Amino acid sequence: MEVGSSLDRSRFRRSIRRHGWPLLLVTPVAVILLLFMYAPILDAVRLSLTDASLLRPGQAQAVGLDNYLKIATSKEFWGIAGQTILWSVASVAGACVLGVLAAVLLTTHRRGRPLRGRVIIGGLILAPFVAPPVVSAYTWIYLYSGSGPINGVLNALGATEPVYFLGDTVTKILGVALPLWSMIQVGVWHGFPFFFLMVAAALTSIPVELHEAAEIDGATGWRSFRSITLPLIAPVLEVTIFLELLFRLGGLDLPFLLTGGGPLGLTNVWGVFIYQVGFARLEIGYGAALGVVLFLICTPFAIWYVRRSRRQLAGF
Amino acid sequence: MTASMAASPVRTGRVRPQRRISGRRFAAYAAAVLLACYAMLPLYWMVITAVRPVSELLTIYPSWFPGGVQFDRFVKIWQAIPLATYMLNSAIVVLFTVLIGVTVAALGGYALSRFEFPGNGAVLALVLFTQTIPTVVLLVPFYTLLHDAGLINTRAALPLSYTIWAVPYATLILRGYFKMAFSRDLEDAARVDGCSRFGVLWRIVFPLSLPGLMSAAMLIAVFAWNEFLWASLVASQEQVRTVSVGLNQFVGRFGTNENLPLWMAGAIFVALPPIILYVVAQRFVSVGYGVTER
Amino acid sequence: MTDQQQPEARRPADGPIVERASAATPSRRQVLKAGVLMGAGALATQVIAACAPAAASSSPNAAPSSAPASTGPAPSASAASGPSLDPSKAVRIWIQNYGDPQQQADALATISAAFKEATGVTVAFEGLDWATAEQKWDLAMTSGDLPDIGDMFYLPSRIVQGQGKWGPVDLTSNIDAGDFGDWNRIVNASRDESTIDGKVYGIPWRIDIRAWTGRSDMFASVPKTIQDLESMGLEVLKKSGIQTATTHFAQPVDALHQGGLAFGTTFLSPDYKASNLLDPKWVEAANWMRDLTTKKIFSAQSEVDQKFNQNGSFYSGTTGAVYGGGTMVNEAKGVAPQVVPLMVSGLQPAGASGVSWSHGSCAQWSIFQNSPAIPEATAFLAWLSTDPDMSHALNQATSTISADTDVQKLDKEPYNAAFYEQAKNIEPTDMPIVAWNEMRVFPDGPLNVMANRVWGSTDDIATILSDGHKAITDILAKYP
Repeated sequence: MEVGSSLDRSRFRRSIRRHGWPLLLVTPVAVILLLFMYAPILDAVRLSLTDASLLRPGQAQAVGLDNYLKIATSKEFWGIAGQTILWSVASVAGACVLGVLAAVLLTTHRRGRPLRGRVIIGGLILAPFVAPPVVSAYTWIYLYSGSGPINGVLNALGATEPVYFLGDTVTKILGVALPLWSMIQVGVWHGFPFFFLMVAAALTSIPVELHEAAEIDGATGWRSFRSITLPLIAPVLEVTIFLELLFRLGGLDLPFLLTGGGPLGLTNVWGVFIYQVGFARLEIGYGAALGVVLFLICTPFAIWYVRRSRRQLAGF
Repeated sequence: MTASMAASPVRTGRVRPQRRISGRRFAAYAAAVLLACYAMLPLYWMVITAVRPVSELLTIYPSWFPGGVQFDRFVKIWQAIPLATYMLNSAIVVLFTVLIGVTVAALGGYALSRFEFPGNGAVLALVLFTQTIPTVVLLVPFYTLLHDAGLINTRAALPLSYTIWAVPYATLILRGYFKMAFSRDLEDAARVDGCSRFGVLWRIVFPLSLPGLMSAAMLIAVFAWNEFLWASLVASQEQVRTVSVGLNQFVGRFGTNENLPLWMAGAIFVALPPIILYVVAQRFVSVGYGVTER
Repeated sequence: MTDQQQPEARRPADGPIVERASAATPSRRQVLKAGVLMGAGALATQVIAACAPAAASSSPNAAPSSAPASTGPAPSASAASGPSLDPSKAVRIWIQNYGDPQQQADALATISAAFKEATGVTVAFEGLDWATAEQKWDLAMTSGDLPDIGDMFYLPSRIVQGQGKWGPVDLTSNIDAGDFGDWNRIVNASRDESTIDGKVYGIPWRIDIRAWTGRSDMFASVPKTIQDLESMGLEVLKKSGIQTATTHFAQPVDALHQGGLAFGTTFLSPDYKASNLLDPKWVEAANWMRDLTTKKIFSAQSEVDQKFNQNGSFYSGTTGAVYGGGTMVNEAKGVAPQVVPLMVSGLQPAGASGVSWSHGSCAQWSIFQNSPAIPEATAFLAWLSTDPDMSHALNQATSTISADTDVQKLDKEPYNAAFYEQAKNIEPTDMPIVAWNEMRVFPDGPLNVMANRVWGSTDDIATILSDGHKAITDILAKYP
């Protein structure tokens, strides 16, 4: 075995010399992730098994899976789950449609002559993306308010009653409360520039000749889009939709600022709920449990994403 | 498609029936402008609210065009709240976050993109997985972590937190960038010529990858400047408060501000830096939505 | 392509690439050392930056050597001026944001400057917005990350949360020594609110009395009874631009409280140990509130929508009065001067008893036990509370009214008279028990939820009340 061990050692040393440099470079990233992402999750699991509350510091008791049972049987939680999913899916769908539309409009060349002024228009479209959420949210609150500009338009068009976009607890459209629709709209407004950005970048890599050839062969407009453009941007679209969905599932800033959970909790989403439980009610044990549940829900998607990306990136 | 078009020989394929083109072009143009208007609508209202007299707001259904213009609130806002302090704090946070975040992510992304080493797959998987974790999950444990370390309301709290959140995303972007933007040939040739590994990094890769680095830096900067909720939890004390939290605190007693024009003036100042940053970075980076000529 | 090993000693060959990788290429070890130094330097800078400003305002709990072990008496302060104060100390004060932020900021700056001139001690105010104030205080009280002086609400809660380490300082001896002037000039209710177990923990500086403010172009006069309110409200609704006849003020629980008082009932039993929500008078009260909301005399939006601009709707004429609001005249002078001549204050409309009841509370300045500047802080409070002009200026700028009758005399504003009158018939807004904090926790504490359901939903009233009763009882059980 002596010979074997010395061979192992020298192989190990060679391995370090060979791989030392990239390992060194990648260590900060790995350390950050392990220490500050995954360790806190483990800590969250630990907290979730107690009834810790910041209002009664130092009196945390282990309660086993009580918090999880509470979540499983909580009507509040499942109602919020439904609202979160609806908000995420609807606002991403809207943002996707508008973003792709904008990207197509601004990048597709009609017979070799690009749309004039597209740089400026493209820049303006990115505004929602770069504006601070604090600013956007309060501006939308003002726009939506009972005596604000949007109601002004409705009034001019003949409406007699103001529409309380963010405060109406009674009106439901398609079974969904009006404030949630209003929030979805803001989500669309906020999200479509990102889709525009991603899809436009992908679209510019499609050669013009492809479109022209298609047109000569008889495919224009919608056909051209569906058969040529769409398949080519599908990968980018897939990733962007996926990431945006996940981002909204945990979304916090915009819903919190817009409605803070909404009239009668009608616009409450997971992110805001966890924040309220952990930092308004100060029940950090329950809040940690909610976070863990959310994490577990996202894990299958994460695994799918990792597998799929690695397959894609492997050939990359 | 008209018969004449289908019958045209390919080499004169640029026949354009004028009327049809302008109709479609007009529609496309109109739609694009409409989308831009939709995107800009709140910002338009922000600007006119900031300049109009307060009395115009105390009417039901304010008009879409300001009746008068006043600019004093753009000066007053700096006295009403310590906006300069907030902006400085935000700038410091952004600076540190970008410097550390981009460095760490660039090194990691470079390593992941160029080298096959044991752990490449694992780290990549870790990074990808982290991208999908909603930050909300980390709120409570992260807060307790910072609290136990005594970092709440210190200058270190935000750069630390934001760097940790930004690194996975930036690593992926930069990894992709390194893969795509330029091949290894230059680096390998330099190594052959005797350049050390660090030298390669510093003298060749770094200068050539500036566009990618700037992209990542810009995204991180905008995120760090705009972020609100976490900052309101861990950096709310006035000395370290950032602009988003400061603006939110300035909202009056019950969720609204009576002096809305003053608030909007502040909002404009707060929203300007990321917008300017983005515009400037565009020039550097040409994120290619048709900016580069074909 | 594999990573080729090249001996470092080899001379670089000629070539364009190599011009960059010049002969001055440092060795790997040197580079590594440099990198480590750079990294350490960056880290050090950040750590220094983190510590330096924090040190100046460092959380006193880092060195709690001055904290007394129990809720014992504070070291008695020396006189407001004099060499015993340390001018290098800064007194940090957390004060909520009231009324017009600009006015408040100006007044606080004046006060700081005046005190600095008098004693050389710096006073730094930090504004807290109401939306996050409760949470901020809760978090601060659990960790001890506190300023030197605080603008307090829920004082009894804070004493318990202070755990004897960083709670409000007992000022009884200072008061007895006359440092804060004649204690009896403070409004009776406020003195009671600041005294727990015979010890005084705060100096009241404002009272928040809720009364009626109407617009004379909408409500011809102040409604004396709730029947008047209804009939006059229906008239007001006919005017153009009106969306609801009245709006509410502050949290939903406050308006719920008002409604209960109009029917002679309240949330808790007289000893504050049990919930009173199953009282049949609550059913009457809740039904009345819902009825008036349906008739648009009360505003549902001002309750359920946290971001609804309550005062703004009054100024812009979309509503005719504020039912159960605080004093608004100073804010109005700053923001909507054209409305000021129209503003008329009065007592809350009375219920069957014929007597107008309302609720109100006081806010106190308290010093925290772990403050490193207790003498300076005490001196500041003594200076401020014994200077009626300065106090009055602060009350004006914050659109609040004083708990100090000397300061009240300086108030020549006829509009405020109704509030002083209403102060004779008030119940505390905040029950003096620790559990009140949780019952009221913004915005989804059980009382706020109940109010929202009464105004904003079609849920059955009895169910709403029994749900609230259960929640309150559960909370009370946590604090025996």
